[in-house]
Amino acid sequence: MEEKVLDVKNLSIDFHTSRGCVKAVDRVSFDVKRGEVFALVGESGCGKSTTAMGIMQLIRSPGIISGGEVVFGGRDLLKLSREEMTGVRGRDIGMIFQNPLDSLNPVYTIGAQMTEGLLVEKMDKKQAWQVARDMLRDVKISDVEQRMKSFPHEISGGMRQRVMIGMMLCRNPKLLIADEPTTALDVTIQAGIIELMNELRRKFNSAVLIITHDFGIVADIADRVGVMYAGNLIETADVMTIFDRPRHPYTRLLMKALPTITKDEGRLETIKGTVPNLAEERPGCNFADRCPYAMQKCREQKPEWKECEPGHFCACFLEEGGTARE
Amino acid sequence: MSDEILVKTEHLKKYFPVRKSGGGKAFVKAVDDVTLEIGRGETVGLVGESGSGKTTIAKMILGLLPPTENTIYIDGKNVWDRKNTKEIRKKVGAVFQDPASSLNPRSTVYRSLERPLLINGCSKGEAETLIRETAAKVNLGKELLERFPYELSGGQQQRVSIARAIMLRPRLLVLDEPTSALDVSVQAQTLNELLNLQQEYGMSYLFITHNLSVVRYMSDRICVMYGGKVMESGKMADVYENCVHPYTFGLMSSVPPLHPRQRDRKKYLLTGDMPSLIDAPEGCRFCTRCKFRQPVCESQEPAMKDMGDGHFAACHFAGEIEF
Repeated sequence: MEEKVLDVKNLSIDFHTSRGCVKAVDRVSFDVKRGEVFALVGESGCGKSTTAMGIMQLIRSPGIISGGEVVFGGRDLLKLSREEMTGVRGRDIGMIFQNPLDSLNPVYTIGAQMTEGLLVEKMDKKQAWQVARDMLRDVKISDVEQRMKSFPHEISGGMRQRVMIGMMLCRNPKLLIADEPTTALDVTIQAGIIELMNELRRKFNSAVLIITHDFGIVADIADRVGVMYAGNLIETADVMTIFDRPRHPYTRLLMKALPTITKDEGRLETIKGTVPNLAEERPGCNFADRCPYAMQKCREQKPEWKECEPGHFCACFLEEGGTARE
Repeated sequence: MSDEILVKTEHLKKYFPVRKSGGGKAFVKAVDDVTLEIGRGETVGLVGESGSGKTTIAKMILGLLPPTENTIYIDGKNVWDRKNTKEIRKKVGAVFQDPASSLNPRSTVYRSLERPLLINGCSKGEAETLIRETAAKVNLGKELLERFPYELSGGQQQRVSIARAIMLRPRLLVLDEPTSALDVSVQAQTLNELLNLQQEYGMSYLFITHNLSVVRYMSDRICVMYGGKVMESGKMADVYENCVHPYTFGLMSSVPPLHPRQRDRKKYLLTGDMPSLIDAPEGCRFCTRCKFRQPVCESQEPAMKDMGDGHFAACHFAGEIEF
């Protein structure tokens, strides 16, 4: 059995608002193994970023983690004290976000920010500078000496994201969480970042949890995929299975909504309706109102999270009865 | 001018003056010598990275930004001749990327849709009929008409923008990244609606996007821009399947695969960034990033080469490079 770096079990995150309790993440379970890229994919508001923030314990009021476990390195992160968690962030788990300009401090040089984490670990100043410089080379930045002295506004968006990746990898984390790392970038720059991430994960063999709405990125980099909808994880499987034999109706419809054809070849499939209001308590499946295969049962009961074939999990009643495939 | 052509512009230029450090003037050549035609009922896709000049072209066509040199003709009328302004504005509609910022937050949907009609001399009664009809066309429920933009989802807001743009039944719709802010499933709905509207009203679309799959789904012809210039243009299938410009090839191979099995496809990743458009280099604008570069590329600007059947490419070696 491969080593599980991260094991999320029944993680639930609620937001208490004036309009009721929003179950932004509802009993989500998945794991990420060593050297593996796990992609959490879904549309906006499905809870994928909230899940990542929950793992990092960066959920702010009115949100609270209402249940579950986040097992990392043999301990449950949810049980750690604030100080202990601060030690985990950055050192054991690195995280990069969509907009690198928001993550970088505008008044410090790249070099100062790259070495900050290393200096915290009592590394010698000179040595830290060297480690950071070599890391910038690893993330394919040219003119490293010059760049170490640059400020974030002096470099391009693609380069900033490379700096962020380098900064995280400097401390050799066991897990890297990347929340929409290329969404703000041009496709040509995105392709370079994806290539870089693919190369680095081989080199450092760290586990990567990537969060994206783009199935193209999933196809390009993921080993395993989890699809989320309205706070629930609805399907996980390895990437080939998700693309070849998706089981959940939502996954199947979403795949068909991707513009992969020309207008002369036909029309894109659409999903009718909109995402339900999560502040309302619903007895059945969250997708039932939009699902073309919905049965009476779907509106009355929540489908269970079940392994429908080895390594392929799905939460749908269709799988249990084995009826209505297409 | 042929009747088949709706929009025509030749050698269109837009230079933005900037102050050089240390005094003196320079120009950002945002759009430099662009020739573009859009036929009636046709969709032309304009693609390229950020900063390639796509939106600047859109603004000039919409009459929002005056060109530095040359002009645009719509239906044979000069967009930049004052006396045509009112007529042209009726013929051209626009939809932008962020629907929330293009709708007036203090107007209900109904008021937003009514305004263009009242300005153009519709009575209140006529306007109401037209609004109801158009709202139905874009699948905007009646109950949404009395709401304010903040009460709508992103997809609904974008449908309001589209409805407003087609209120006067324009001949041309300029769509500047209309689905970039939307989720995949909502994007599919919006794109399908746009195709249906086009069929019904016979509008021409100028579809601007950086998403190559979306542009492939929507367009008849595409035009690939880089650094303010057109690199390659032609029928969608020609450009997609037999591109001859190294930039187009680089752009296409940057698009993530549709299936994990295509991970090891032939790739040509572009490195570096677009050069500054201030005092752009003499030769080909793409030559700093092109791995097929020859000495001639640095000294001489390539002319548009005719590859046959309406397929053009601005590369000295178009058709000679094996990708």
